[in-house]
Amino acid sequence: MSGGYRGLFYGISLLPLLAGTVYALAYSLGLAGIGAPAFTTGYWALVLQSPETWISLLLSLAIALAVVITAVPVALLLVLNYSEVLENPVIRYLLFLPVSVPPLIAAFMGTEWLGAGGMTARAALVATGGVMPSLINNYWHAGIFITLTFMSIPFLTILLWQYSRAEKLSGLAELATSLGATRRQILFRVAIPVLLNRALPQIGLMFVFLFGAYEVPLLLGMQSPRMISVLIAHKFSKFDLADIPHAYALTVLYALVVSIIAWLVSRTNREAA
Amino acid sequence: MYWMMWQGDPMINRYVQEYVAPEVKKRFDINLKPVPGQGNEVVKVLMAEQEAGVNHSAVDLCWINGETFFQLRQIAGLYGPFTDKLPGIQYVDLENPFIGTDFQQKTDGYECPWGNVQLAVIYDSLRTPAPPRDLASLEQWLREHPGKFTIPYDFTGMTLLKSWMIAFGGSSEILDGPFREDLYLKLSGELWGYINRNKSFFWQKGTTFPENLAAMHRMFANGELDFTFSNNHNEVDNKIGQGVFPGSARSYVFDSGTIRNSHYLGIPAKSANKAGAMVVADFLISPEAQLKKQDPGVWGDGTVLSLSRLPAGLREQFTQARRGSHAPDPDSLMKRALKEPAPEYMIRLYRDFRTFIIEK
Repeated sequence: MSGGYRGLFYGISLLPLLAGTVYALAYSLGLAGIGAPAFTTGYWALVLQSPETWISLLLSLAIALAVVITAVPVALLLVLNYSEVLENPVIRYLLFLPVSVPPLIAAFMGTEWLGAGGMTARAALVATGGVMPSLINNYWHAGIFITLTFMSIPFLTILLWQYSRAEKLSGLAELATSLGATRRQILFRVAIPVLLNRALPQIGLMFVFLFGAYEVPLLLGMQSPRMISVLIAHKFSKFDLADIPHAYALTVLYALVVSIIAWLVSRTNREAA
Repeated sequence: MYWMMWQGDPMINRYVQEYVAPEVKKRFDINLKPVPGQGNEVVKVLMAEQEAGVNHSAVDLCWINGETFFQLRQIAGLYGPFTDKLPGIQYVDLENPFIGTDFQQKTDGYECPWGNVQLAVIYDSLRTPAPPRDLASLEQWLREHPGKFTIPYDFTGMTLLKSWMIAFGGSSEILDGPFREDLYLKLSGELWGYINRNKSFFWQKGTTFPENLAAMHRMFANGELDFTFSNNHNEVDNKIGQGVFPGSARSYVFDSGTIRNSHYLGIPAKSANKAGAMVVADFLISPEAQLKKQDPGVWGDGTVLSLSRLPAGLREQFTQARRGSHAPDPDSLMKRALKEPAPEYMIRLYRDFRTFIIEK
């Protein structure tokens, strides 16, 4: 990339993000905004001392991790066992459909399927006569986990299938077989490492996307604990103007965590390369 | 002319897009464009404009409620006084404490009353033939019907809690006047005690609460809950009309009363079309537009007009428009109407509900 294009790239992709973060930092330090009280670290002290901040961050990390840990093996299983089925364009089109569903719609569908009055509960009632507990708004955040996992699996399946073709995985498997590798060795020493190595940046990005998911946890989660995105949005949008600097401090913290995750992913990727 | 308004109800959107906008175009050649935004979103937009130092706001008219009015006055975001310039204001009873005073704040001409409604409880008269009418009977009912009741953690839920706090105070006027910390602590303490004592009988055992009314309405419609609420006592009619609620749905208010308040129209201080905004506001409070809005088949929003000030023919039309309603009659509602307390009560309730109920 030439210097000019690189500058344009950074200008478009990084400058707005950086400007927004600087503004958020200034707001959280009392240096910007209507009625800003002049420099203060008070908002940050409150945010950092609040257990809710750390619980929300940990909850977001835990849910994102749980979804990735569940969705990646399922997608690998589908790609490695049903690659012929995935050659069918109709099947791939059907996989694209859930990928194109906006998170808000997915959240509503989660409500319709997983709520106490939803399809799953009704089916359980018909099949067993027993009442099935609601899977949404519950302590284990099951509704968020299930919905985000179902949103992630089709995306990962399509992604890994395309990489399996790009990496000529079937050729590599044949070569390994001719060299005497067992099916298990091909799977764990060739296919899975090749695919994961190639898809690691996208899986990392997916982790960031899941970490910052908003609509699904808003509609299917509990009020407490709540994921970090919901906590920030509530601080911004409720009735107390005095909460806005806290919301900006949380935004900066969130940006910091996402930057660390992105850095870790890129570092791991460089090492793998 | 850009009108920032809540666009969460298709009937309200139709009223604005298919009636108000064409009428103001035809009569005054005003191109009215509704844009989405409510409550804190309005505040955020106007704050951002002030912080950016723009000369002309992107918003010319906004639909606001008391807590937004309080915030916008804090940042000097509203133009005014302007209501005395509206010819139609002659029919509006500004001396009425439910219209001329907003969350205990005198409107002082900085916002124009547009609709007047009262918080109501909605139930299904077939499923619940004898709904609880006070806090004591609600407590009994909760024990007999666990999991079928909850409170939304939003504006409507907090409005309900204010009504209950007044009920604990024993007088409809107990929260009149500026915010009082001692009174708040006393009454909210009783309120949290009541909810905590009963919340194990709430939906999801009171561990979580619906984020908004739409979720409450959906769960009421599918039978998961036996009650939902509305800030508009007439909403039961338009939801039955839409087929969302069963025909047996009814609305009522607790014997101790519920909050009655108005919604308003404000003009941003930096609007470039203040004259146009006033013309539109004047049209919106005209008897014709208010009558149309009151029709449950259109919206079902309560009028801010004083019927006694209207010519006899128009007065009769307003009375006729209520026939067949599933909401309580206006007189019984008014007898149980409570004034909105100062906005700080809402702010504190919202924060403390999290601390003392959700996280407890």
